[in-house]
Amino acid sequence: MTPAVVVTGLGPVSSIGRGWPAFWEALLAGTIGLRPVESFDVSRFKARLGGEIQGYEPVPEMTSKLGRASRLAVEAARLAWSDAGLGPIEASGAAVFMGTTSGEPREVEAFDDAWIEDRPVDGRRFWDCYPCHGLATAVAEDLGAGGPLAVIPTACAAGSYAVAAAADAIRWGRAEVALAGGSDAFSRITYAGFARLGAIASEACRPFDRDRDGMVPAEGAGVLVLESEAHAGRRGARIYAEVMGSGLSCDAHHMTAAHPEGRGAAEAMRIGLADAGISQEEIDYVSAHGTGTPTNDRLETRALEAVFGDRLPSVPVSSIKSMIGHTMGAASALESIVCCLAVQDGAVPPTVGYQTPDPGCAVDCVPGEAREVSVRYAMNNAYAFGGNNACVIFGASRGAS
Amino acid sequence: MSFAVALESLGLVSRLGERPEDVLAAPTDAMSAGPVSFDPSTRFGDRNYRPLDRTGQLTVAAVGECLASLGELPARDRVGLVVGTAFGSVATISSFDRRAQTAGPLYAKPLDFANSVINAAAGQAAIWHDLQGVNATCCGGTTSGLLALLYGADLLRAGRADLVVAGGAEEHCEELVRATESGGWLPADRLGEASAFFGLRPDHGGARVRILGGASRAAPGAAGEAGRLGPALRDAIDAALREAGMDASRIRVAATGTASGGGTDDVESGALESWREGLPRFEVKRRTGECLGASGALQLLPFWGWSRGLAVAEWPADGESMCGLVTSVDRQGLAAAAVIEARRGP
Repeated sequence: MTPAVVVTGLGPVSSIGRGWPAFWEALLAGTIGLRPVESFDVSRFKARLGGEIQGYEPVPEMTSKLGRASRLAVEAARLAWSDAGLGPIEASGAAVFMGTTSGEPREVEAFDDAWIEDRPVDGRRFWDCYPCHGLATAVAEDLGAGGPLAVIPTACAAGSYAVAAAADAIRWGRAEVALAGGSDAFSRITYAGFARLGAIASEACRPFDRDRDGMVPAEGAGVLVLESEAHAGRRGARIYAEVMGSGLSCDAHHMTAAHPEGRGAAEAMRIGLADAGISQEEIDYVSAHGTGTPTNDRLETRALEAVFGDRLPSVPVSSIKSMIGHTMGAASALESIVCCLAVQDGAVPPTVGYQTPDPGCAVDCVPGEAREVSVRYAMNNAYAFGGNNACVIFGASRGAS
Repeated sequence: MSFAVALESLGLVSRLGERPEDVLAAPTDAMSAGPVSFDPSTRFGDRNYRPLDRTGQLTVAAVGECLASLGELPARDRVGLVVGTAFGSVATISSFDRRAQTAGPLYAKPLDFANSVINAAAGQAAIWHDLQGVNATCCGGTTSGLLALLYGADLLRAGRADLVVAGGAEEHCEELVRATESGGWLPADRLGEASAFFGLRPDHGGARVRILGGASRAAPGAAGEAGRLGPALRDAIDAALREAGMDASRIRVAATGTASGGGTDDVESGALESWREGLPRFEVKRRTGECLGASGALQLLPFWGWSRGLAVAEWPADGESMCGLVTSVDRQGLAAAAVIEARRGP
């Protein structure tokens, strides 16, 4: 029988909170972490909003040799590891799977500045800090993790790909404990790109609202500790949730636009449900990708309709991007944390800023205020550039029940 | 229990040529680093290749060759693609940013932004070839290609796909050359360019080349202390052999990631030498240069060629079966190994 994989540690780092108690409290309170961008000049953009972690001070002993995304990743990993109550002995064989969209874009920005100003580029810094697998090796280095390691940079679905890969590694006995998640730093490259696509919200991120006008680029990191249920049981660990299953697919349609029928997104959900061995009728909460762009939310709704049918209006479907923006490769990792906490606490976070229903987005997006919901199974959906889709399903631990 | 994966097809784009013998027969004392001579207009004909950047073009071409020789494919939603790459396209990312900085953000090209994500080549190749199964990218520096092949094998093992095209691609560009000339870890004239992909399916017996097991290992402390990479590689080899269910005595050869002229060559060589003294080693980078994310897939070429009767000068020619290791280490603190079996047959 395939060993169950459970989540025993949570480490979110976001604009509204670091560490899950602060993060969760802020989410349930509907706290918005989106503010005018400070880290670079946005005067030439129409948009001004960003989800920076302003005033971010990494923990003091963290080396300056790390790029910003790696620092965020290391802090998230430390929080998750500590939350799980694990120590150095467990670390030696621990696996590390991380996702990202851009790796360390600020490193290539510094390289570009030197190029533009005709200064010598810092090749050593470029090679030491820019390659994106440094996110994971930095985590391994910091915690002494010596198990399997990979970075799966599937853009905005990357955190979920990492969770799925880590769960497989544990099921196959390659590791008993794994750190899995995603990280991305706020970047002028990302901001300029989404601005050129006309995708950044003017005043607020309002997923599923009729008058929504875009997403808000943001930064953050989320790391989860996954363990075999047996390992967690032996050490009496607190179990937040079980990783029930996952589904991955590709639209093969367009680099930046979702399939018009939500084909790949629906397929990922169907595969995820089959992998988890449950039906859509058992899903109590969906953490939506919910970027807030007019097209994406409509196509995501189509995909949800294809899977949930007439039942969709009765399923809570919320987007925390309304509060923290789109944290890119960290997004689905942070939303995985949300799903685990929803299962544990019996509450789901709201979609804030929602005012006017959109007939094209007929979902119950938990508008405005958090809600108490008994969540046996939570579905986390994520979609990305390149048509990469991921669905991970979390549930109350069968062992615990 | 081991899960064997068959390598059923190959797509290759390299400076030395597009047939495995072009690489295998190349001289080992005259590294052919630098960019590939690759003309997208002749390669892609009338089809609109403008959405593809250099890494995308190399990937689409090699994946296409790989698919073309497979015959009938499974349903498209059961065909996966895994691309190993160290950077994606640094040229695309950097030029997008430089243009935004110098001309203003309104002049940055949206198409370049679409290709600025590290998984762009995988997404573009999926669109080009209509591959709707799992689509992923793996990054591990110089180990990226090997990680991608092992991840592809895992997707089959998990039942997430019936066919996975896996390998790696890396472009040669001015940005990488500049960075390497200004403090890189290897001589800039050793940077290469290539794209190599294999078609993987679950092995049901009879495959000429099979992945029998594989593993990666982080080497905490290695970023500042290369000595820790060696033990990590040995751990990865032992784990790969365990997964393959193979006794170490059956290993006759290795295909290593050494000879790029970078700082990890001695570490990898030393670890392998301490594992088995005098194991015959094929070093593809002596021929191709350092192709970063493509290297791991290039390292499988001698197994592919040997199974088809091609000469692999560094390896013994005798026998009907050849079991070997593919090894790779990355200077950031990562090691990977795979156990491969090649068989000769009709």
